Amino acid sequence: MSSSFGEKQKRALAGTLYGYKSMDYRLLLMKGACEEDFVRLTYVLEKDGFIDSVDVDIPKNSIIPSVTGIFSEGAQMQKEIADSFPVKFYVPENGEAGKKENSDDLIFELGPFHPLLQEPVFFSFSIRDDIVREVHAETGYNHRGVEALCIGEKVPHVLDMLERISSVNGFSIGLAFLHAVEKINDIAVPDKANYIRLVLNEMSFLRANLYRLSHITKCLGLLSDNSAIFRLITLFNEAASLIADDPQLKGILVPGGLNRDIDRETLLQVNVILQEMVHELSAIRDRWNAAPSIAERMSSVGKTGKNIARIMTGRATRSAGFAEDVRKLSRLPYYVLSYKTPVYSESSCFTRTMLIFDDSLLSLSLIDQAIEVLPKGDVKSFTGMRNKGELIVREPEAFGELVVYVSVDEGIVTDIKIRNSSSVNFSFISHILEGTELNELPLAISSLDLDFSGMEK
Amino acid sequence: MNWFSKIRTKSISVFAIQAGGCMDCAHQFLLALSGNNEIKGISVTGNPKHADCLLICGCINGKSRDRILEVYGKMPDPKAVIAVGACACSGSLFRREGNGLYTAEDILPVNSWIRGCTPGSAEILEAVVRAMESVKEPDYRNDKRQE
Repeated sequence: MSSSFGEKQKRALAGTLYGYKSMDYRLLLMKGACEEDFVRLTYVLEKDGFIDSVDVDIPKNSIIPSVTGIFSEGAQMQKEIADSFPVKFYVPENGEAGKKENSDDLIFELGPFHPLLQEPVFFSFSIRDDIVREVHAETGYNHRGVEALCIGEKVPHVLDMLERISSVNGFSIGLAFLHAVEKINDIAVPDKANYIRLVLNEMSFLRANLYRLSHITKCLGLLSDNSAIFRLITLFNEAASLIADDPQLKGILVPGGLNRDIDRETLLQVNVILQEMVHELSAIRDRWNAAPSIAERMSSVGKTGKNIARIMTGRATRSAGFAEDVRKLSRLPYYVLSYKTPVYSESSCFTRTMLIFDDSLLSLSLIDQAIEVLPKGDVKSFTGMRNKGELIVREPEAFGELVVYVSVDEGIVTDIKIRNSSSVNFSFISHILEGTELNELPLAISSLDLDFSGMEK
Repeated sequence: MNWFSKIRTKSISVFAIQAGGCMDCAHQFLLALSGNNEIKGISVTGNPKHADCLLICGCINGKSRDRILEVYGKMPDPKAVIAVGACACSGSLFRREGNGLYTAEDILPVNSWIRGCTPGSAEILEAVVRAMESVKEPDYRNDKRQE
């Protein structure tokens, strides 16, 4: 590798990525690895389930073209690379960095700690007549260096850490990691364990959606509905306490299955408690649908165009009419269950919120179905981990698609990279928030399903 | 406990900081408030100048440390600091991170610690009240002399 990344190489890289873009590929993951005198960047691209990658070796402290001009979903992934490795990305003058602040605009700052922000993030809004004209978001308040800490650790220890990345998606991240490890080591998980994992995964989705709803009710100022949602969360905690000591369902997953058997009777009890939510959730959804003050207010906030929604993931995509079924990606037996992914035609704060209700009801239905067909048998298989390999897995999480890259060698993790749905969706936050009224900002932000703790790690 | 401390513990404004973690400790606090806030007189504030108590959840990195110190500096005396959860108390699993992770005690005088991952919601409310009871009155007369 030459000592500098020349103009010709920059054009070749941009040309290669343009080629993939023109073939309708999308950027799935960007990861880096620091070698002795260069940084190896890998662009993982995906189209209709087919995954391809572009590797490029870059001398340290080089400046290379930004990927955002080609794949706009890569802004946050690129930022992570720039923060972690000695590489800089060149953003053209007419790009985001080239925007000039208007001196007549009022600068309004929100965060990083505020009751209407679920997680620490600092926003700086440029405002004129109470309408947001420009958005600058600063992250990094959540960073704990989890990925670096995982390297060189044994699989169970890494699992402990991954389950603590995010309270709403930690279970899904741990499960995705285990799926990759089990695939590399050819570990066959017993059927019963897979079905129970499915139930637990859906429970974690339900919990995430309930907390999201509680935050939206707070932003709307609907205190009675907020109390009703918290009652449902208490109900969920009651159900979860029958399975685990912790409502996050931490500590149940182990390589090759589950660390303890959960009998059918216990799961039926859990199901009875959870199904009590159906009536309450449906009632709140119908009430909001019937109230013009709520429907009209939320419909005018956080509108997303179809061209942006198509690149995003999760409810932002599904609310714009794209039937993205992330459960289809999973190794769990979703294929035996009957379900239809809810979709709306126009992406706005209202449709995204209605999808939270629909997704919660879908999770409850899937839990019910999975417990109905629960097979008998063991919940743990032999877990000798002797193989070496690397794998990218795509799994569902509560807010969209989760991508985890894992490299293991005889039970020791040698590399790991996690990209959750927020890494993609956060790249578009300025597009979505521009034009929003000042008083609707917390509502618009909360409807975007951002999980900063899972994004920053 | 003098009469002023008794009154003070009947109405407590809490500034909750989710410093950087999984967010579950903050969720537990909100869950606790959803049922019990009327009984305990505890409310959440978004303005540090109105806050009596600073609740720190999660791991504290260099970036959030500066902001926490800024918030703490703006809070009026007497004020209490509570570290919630294993991350804020000891760094938990992430304490080996060499890039500057702090516990709450590293950066501020902590009045109360709630350990566990994740701590129960009832314990958090109890700790808020106990921490406010344990806070010492500032010596206003000495402050005046210094001025």
